[in-house]
Amino acid sequence: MTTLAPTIPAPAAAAPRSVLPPFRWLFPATTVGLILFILLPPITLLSLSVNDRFDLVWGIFPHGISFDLYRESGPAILRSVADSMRIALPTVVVCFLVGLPVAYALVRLRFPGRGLLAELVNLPLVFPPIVLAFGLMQIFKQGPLSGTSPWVAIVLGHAVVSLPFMIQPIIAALQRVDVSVEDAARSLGAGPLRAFATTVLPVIMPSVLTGVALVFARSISDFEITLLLTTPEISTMPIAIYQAFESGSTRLGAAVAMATNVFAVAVIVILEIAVRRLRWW
Amino acid sequence: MPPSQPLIRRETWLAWLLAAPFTLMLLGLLVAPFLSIAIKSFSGSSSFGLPFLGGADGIVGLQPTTAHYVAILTEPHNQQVILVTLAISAVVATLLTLIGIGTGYYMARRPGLAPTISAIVTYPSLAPAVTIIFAILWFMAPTGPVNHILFQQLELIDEPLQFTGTFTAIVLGDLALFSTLAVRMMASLFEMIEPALEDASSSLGATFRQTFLSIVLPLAAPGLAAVWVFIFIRTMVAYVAALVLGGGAKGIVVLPLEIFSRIQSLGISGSMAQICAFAVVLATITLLGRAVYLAIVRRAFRDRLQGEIL
Repeated sequence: MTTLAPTIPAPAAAAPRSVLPPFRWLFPATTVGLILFILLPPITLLSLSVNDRFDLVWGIFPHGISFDLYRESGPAILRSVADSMRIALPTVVVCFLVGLPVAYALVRLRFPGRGLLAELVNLPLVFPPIVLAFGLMQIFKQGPLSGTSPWVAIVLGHAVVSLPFMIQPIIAALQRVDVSVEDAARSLGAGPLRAFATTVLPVIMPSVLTGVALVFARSISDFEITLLLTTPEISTMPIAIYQAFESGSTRLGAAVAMATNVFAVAVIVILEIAVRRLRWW
Repeated sequence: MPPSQPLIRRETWLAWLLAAPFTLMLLGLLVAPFLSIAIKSFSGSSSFGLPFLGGADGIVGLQPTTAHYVAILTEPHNQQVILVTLAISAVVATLLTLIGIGTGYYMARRPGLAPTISAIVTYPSLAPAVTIIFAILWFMAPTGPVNHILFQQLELIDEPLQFTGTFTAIVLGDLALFSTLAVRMMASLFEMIEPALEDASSSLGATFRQTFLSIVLPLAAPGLAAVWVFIFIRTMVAYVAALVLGGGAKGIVVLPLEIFSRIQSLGISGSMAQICAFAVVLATITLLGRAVYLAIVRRAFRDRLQGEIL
């Protein structure tokens, strides 16, 4: 049997002093660099949107605060928020209704083709959005579903790409729920749906809400699929931002971008707080 | 005599019944259109529309040909598009792997700071991608902060830096978009490595650098490869950065943007079958990448590497 004798490190010989900073500084330095890289561009966009003229102090800070652009573009912002909600909310509902049964089948049941189904669940995560949008464009504009409303087409397109975001958190939650709880409810006379709704659903609700937040975020951020399926009557937040910048009005684009950003991030943060509260209870 | 077993068990029926809405949705809206696109990509017919999805030609009038794939591989413009796409994806994946190592390790070993860093790093995945990209466009614009400081304030350069339409512009855009994924996956990876191993190494006299390079990094190596492949395939299919920062048709064009531009010009100059061939090439590369990613994750981590859902 070998034993590890306590090793007393020998005093290090005086090494030549390196001109490079200590190696362990690389990690906090990278983190600070990344945080600045992520935060600085949107901060300058925010400054631009509230600045009272075009140029900024050092290109970063506003000269004076003015909300005129927000007032001017208010109707356009509200319209894009409303359009995004008209798409995101049905997308969340479709993903929940379609995703919950699949997650339940994958976790609770053993059946031939289970491995294939589990892999199909992740397919929309990696499938190129432009190819998916091209196929949907053909179906909804020239193919068998050509009479369908563009709103429905966009909701279905968003739902397909967002389904993994709903299914994966629910799968993770169901794996942690003891199956005997549901069995006990069944043995006391509850039907399968009632047993699920009264014993399992309350326990997995935080994960369902996580799924809701992820699907919502995916839907309101989507640009690639919406761009190919949209019509002039639909102006979601990303489309409105794109059109505002493309029209050459950088400050107006910045105002639309920042207002919609605040809305999007606020909704997701509220959902995240709700998830934490539910978990705590 | 044992009771006769039903041909298909009740559990199997129930499972597929529960999965039916999902399966129908996926088959109808993703798999079937892609199969139709794949069939059309081998068609010599110049008609619009896809086979079985409203197009005029079915399997019978297909006039099979591989000319569209040959054109993708041999025409200089197409070769350039594919090479640029692969190069951008490789550079972004490599840079984000390095950044992810730095920030992910720092988060894993600083649990007190990790939630704050995580909240900041999550911003690009919550905000619309268009905002992130336009913010970078403004940041690097002739009147933006970078040129303001370098050109007007410090006078380090003779003329403002030209940013749009460059390789660097698209790389920076994609770096911002996918930094959340890289950092979260890396943090999850380093959390799986026991800090006790590092303590043991340092108690035996190894410096932090020696411990990190010879203990932590080798243990994380399969995960680094998985993250690299994952970011590579996500960058391959992204085109928002290229659309806004690429500088148009005469700038830098990546494969998804090439498909998008050809769809936009369909009926004027584009060929339906050629677009389909491009779509099949892009989907094949990404699905192969996904297979490599899964092989690494299953072999080395038994699916424990978290973060891809973001």
